Amino acid sequence: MSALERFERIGLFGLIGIFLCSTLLFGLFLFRILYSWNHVHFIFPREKAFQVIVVVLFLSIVFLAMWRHLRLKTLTEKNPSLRSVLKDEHTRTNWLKAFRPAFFLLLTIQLASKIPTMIWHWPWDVPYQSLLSLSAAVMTLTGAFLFYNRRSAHE
Amino acid sequence: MNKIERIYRMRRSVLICAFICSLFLFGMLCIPLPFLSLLSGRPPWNLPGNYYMAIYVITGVLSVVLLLILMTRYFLFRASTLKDPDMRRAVDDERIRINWLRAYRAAFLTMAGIHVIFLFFESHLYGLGLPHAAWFSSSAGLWTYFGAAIFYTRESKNERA
Repeated sequence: MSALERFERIGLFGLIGIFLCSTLLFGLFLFRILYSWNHVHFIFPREKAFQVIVVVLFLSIVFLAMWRHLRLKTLTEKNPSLRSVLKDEHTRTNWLKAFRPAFFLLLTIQLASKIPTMIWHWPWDVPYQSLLSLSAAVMTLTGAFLFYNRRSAHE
Repeated sequence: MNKIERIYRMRRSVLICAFICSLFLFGMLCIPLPFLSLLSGRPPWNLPGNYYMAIYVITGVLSVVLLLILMTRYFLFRASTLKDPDMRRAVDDERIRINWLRAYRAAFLTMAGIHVIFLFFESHLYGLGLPHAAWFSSSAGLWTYFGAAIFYTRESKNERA
């Protein structure tokens, strides 16, 4: 396997890891909203699950960004022509496309948290609501990028 | 003025209207905070909600009605113009699509940034008790989206010229 393939493969695995972490976090939030914490005590003690996953997610995002930056620097120093291969137009467009569903999801969560309260006075009292929105946003962003990337690779 | 230029101009007027409306909604949430704080004697991050809900709803409804009128006008004209396939190709070019996507990115990053700030306040302070925090972040996201769309469209228009 060439250095270029390895670089792209590790980046892809990193993104899949971030996607899975954020999905787990979002799933736990939904679980908590729907069934309360009593049913997830067997997985983790109260609040511990959030803390562990948030730290893992944050560290993996930072690590992947730093690793990619440094590795890109090393690779392009050795071979400047690789820059155009790695930073191609398709990948950039796929990232841009991925921002669209993530933005709509954030907007929908915000409206969904407000409109039932306004109309039916239904209390929406979710602790760490920002964390819920952020985990959903990261999940959609990475998931949409992986989806578009896979589709353009097939094409 | 040819039909394509007219479409661009109408789209721009829809965007500018949406930008002004969302900016006004966002500004209404930000500007009264110090005054409400002085009146109620509470810090700006710990104010009770439901202060200016009526004005907010009226402004929101008026904005939506105005936008609907402009958008209906725009889409009717666009639909009648784009029956011609050559015209369709001329309007839906790749650069315009990329500009819309860049606007989505800007809006997403704004909303995510606001949520990170909220998260910091939730975990380190007593919680940023902004009145209608969800409206705050939504209107900021929409405001950035329309602003970025206007900015990027202007940029590509200058390049075309």
